[in-house]
Amino acid sequence: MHRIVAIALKDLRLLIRNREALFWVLAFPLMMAVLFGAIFSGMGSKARKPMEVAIVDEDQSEASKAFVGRLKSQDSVKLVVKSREGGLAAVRTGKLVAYVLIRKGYGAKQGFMAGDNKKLEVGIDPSRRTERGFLQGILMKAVFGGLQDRMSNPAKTRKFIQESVSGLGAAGARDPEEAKLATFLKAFDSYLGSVDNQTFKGQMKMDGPKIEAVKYAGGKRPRTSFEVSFPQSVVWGLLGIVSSFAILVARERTVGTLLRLRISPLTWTHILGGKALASFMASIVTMALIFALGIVGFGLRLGNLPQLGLAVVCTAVCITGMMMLIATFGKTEQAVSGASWAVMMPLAMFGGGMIPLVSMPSWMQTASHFSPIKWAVYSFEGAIWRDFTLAEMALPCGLLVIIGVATFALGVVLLSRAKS
Amino acid sequence: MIQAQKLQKRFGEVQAVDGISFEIAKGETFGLLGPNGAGKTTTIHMLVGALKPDAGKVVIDGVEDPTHANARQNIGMAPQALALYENLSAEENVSFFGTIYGLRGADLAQRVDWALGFTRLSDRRKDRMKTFSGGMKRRLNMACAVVHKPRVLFLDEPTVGVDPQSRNAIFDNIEELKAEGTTILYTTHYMEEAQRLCDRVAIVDKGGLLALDTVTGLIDAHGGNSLVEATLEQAPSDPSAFPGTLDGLSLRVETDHPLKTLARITDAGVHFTSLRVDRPDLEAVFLNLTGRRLRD
Repeated sequence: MHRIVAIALKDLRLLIRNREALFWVLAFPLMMAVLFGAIFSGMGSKARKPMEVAIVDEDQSEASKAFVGRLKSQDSVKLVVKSREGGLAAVRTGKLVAYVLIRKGYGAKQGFMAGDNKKLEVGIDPSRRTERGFLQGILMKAVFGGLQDRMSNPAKTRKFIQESVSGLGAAGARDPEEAKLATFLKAFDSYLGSVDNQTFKGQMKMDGPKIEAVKYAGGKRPRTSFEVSFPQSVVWGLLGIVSSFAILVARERTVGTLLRLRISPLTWTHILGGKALASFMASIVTMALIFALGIVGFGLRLGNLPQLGLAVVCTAVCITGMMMLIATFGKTEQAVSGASWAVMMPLAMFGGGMIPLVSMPSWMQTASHFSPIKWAVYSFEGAIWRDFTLAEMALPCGLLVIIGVATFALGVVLLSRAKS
Repeated sequence: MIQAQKLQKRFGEVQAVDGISFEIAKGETFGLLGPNGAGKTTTIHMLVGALKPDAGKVVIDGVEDPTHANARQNIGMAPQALALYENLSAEENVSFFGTIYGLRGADLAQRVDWALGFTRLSDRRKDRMKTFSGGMKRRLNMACAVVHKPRVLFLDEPTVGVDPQSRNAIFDNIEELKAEGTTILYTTHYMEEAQRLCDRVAIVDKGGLLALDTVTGLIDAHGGNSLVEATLEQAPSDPSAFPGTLDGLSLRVETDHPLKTLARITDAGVHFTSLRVDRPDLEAVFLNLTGRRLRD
């Protein structure tokens, strides 16, 4: 055991003295954690900036002005008054998200919605697909706001109904459908005549369902975006460890120190055991340091500490195994370095190390199941804020250990073959 | 102490070692002399158990398997490549290799001090290896090989690319180890080194062993004649009585006994204004055995 520890300590010392490797193992992941955390949190006030939309009111009627007023009253949108050409140009050049054009004649045809919605034209920047849905909701709210206004003023609505009934033609000349509509409108008119002006005030809401974030069993969810970005960015440090230690194994071979170790009384178990121990320890220390900095500087919670410890240990096992396998992917440091990034980058990309899993298309989310990085991030989140039970931790942690053991065994077999 | 019996090793189409056999006695310094690519390093790698021979047998200190821990504990090796960690200091390098040979605590510290002092690196012990000159790196390579006090030491081209000062320091080290009774196998393609350090020398080329003997024995057997060149004070009265060829006052004689030849000339009452005797060396031995020079 003493000899395994000696090899591990030597490798750790070499890692610590390699500034380039240290950058990738510690500094880069921290930069990513802070950067992505800040982006996800929206960097304060900018994130809460309303969607900027051009409004072009060519109608200038009472109804169009009321529609604009209802849009303005929503804090999720900021209207910028423009001409038709100005609005189009602002969207085309990406300065504004969309334009809303109220064509002439909007207020001339009075309907239930207090305006002719066929006279509304909306154009949106094709690259702002996410905002399209938001904007649609905002416009629907403003449109239905017209109906709300109508219902809040029964006298005005009755006048509109009576005009509509007379527009259906003489009673004897109506077709069966018109006759049914006339009967309904008359009944509605009669009802509105029996209520006072206060009946609908404050009662007719057109807000739609209220959406709230799901509360977990323990009432937990990511308190800050850093609780998402730190588990995600730890992955980068682990990639750095895989690459650095795989390169160290290759360097032992090219420099000749591996020959020296092999002709010493050390067994192959001592040599590979020492390398594995160093990688394992470096993984644990890296994760601990990054999470500790997240706690001290960015409000990261520890969550369930024993489970976080379990996730860290299982991830370290997985990383150690992968390092051992990747060390066999080339005979020179350059070859191993290239191979390690070529293998680990796609795994990180598919595993949510670059883009959060929820933002991926469904096929990528399916593919992510094959990336150990996904299970590492999932286990960290489970311990920190998803409030996983021990049974729920078993899946990601078990998979990490299985992948680690399998890749370690394969790596040892391949390295042993290369030795002989 | 070391036995190599009919060792063979092939890499693809190349027969790197082809039936080499020799024995090295305890305390002997044995040289493997040959040009680059002769099979010296491959032979050493088979002797230390880093390479498995295709055929043949190796016995180290009575142990037939050189990969056995007991055999390895008594072996030290300074590989031809500088097998060191450049981001570790001299002390850390030596200490690490001492540790993997089982040294601990005060014993380890004492042996590290000794190895660094032995190779004259004590004053640079805290400096990282990458800051060292080529000669210092070679000496550190040697320090790491001897820190555990091996009984058998393999030195593979230990003076390649070093300055004369470091080369002399390495020679001193080897002679000191030799005086202490360490068995040394030394490979080189510098015949001066083999001539200076080795009790016996095996000349190898193209994987085969061409000759094996003491340096004197090899020269006597394969070196050819010595060359005596002299300038005479005055022309001899009877040039036909002289050995060799006489051109005016310049005499040139090839002889297998230069001293006897000189005695015969001086006995005839001839005096020299200049005299030079070129004895054959291992270079001549190699040339005579292979038709090529060692450094060709």
